[in-house]
Amino acid sequence: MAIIMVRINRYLKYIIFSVIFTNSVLFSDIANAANAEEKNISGARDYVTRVSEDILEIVNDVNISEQEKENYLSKLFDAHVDTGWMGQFILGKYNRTITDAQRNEYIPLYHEYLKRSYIPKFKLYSGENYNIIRAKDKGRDNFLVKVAIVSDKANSDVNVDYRLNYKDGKGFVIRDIVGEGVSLIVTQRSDFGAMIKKKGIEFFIKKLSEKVESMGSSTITDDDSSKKDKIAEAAG
Amino acid sequence: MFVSSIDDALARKVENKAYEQENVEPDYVAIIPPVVVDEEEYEDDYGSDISDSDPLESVNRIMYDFNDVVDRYLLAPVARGYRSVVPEYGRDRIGDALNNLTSPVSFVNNILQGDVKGTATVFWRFVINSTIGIGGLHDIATDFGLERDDADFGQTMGVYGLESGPYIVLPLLGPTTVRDSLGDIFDVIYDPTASANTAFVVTHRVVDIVDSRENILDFTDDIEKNSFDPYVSIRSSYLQNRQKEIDSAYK
Repeated sequence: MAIIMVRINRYLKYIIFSVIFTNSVLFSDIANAANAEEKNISGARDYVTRVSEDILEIVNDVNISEQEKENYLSKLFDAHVDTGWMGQFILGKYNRTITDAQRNEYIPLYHEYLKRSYIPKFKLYSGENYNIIRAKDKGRDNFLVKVAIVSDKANSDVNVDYRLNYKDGKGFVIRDIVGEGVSLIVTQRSDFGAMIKKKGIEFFIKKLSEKVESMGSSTITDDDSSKKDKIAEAAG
Repeated sequence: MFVSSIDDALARKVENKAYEQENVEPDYVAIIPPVVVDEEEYEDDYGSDISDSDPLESVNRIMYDFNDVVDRYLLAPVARGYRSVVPEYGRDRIGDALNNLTSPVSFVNNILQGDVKGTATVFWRFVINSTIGIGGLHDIATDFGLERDDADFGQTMGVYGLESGPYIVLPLLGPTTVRDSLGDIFDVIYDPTASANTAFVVTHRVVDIVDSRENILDFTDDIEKNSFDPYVSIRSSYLQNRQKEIDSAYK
């Protein structure tokens, strides 16, 4: 069992690759139209390449602070991770019984929850390369792109799959990441489902809201960041 | 696109609060359109709810809680200490050496699975890493293109079509299935390199456990922090990954 979890652990570092970076959210549609890949296998590969390169550019940039990096990555996340769909997949059968009001509350919370879970992980990144192995057309506008993360150390590659969906007029969005066979949304479906089954949807949404708050903000304002830098400078 | 709809949702909440004061029913427009998630789309890949099958759940949770206490107060602190005391280079060397020691078992299981290529790969990995790689300390074979792909007896039984049996959590050993735990016993009994030297065996076990625990520290910390029900998250991850290993062994 430990071997299995080792591989999952290494995949966790690379889940940052799911945080997509383009321009700010307001311009994302324009940016996407300009860069939009085609709805086919090579388009899917190009999309993952573009996205990965953008992320790496941010993460590897030595001239910006960690907080700025988190801010950029946050905007990417907003633009390209299809949390509206993912959140509802994760509800499983409860997606049929949830009310509109609850859904309107839950989806933004889920969006924040996922973002705050994974953006801080970019700190774990340490120079690995990646290879896009293959892309598949799964039908119904869904695509699967298989990526191997190559680590500097001579360990075997970590296999990460990206499930994409193509939205007409917008381009690709990400709907799931699968690391070493472990799907993010399937795992979360089990996790959330266990609590909803025991305590109900209202209780779950309340807990989700508390958890999101306890995770802290994924972005801070400029004032805060300049204060932090000043304190850091003063501390030497 | 999405952020603006979050702002709308907040704005609407404010508006609706005003309505509530006037005893007017708020008009909830579905800002987030309900999506019919067609799960059949994903059944080929996600299968049925293999990640949720747990007939022994009540017993498993008790065992999980026990393991959790041992882990929290003994194993995890030791693993953290190991991480802070031994530099990454050193930990990698120890890790590679431990992996190398599992080669004989993997060799036997590759043969049993009829995996000719896998058998040859394991054999040459062991030879290269033990010699040029100085007693397994350096995993040089991977640089030669010989990827590591362990085979254990539980996997072998899976390839032969044996059902995995229910998910169980063993004391201290953690998550497994009935089939896989029997498989582990088989691997221990029939390990070609079983040693009579007790000191070596014990040391090996201890180092192996601490190394394994250190490897998954980030994973378990993430589960602790983000998961609502860590027991379920671990079960789901374990069963999905195990399924993938079986599927890839089939090929």
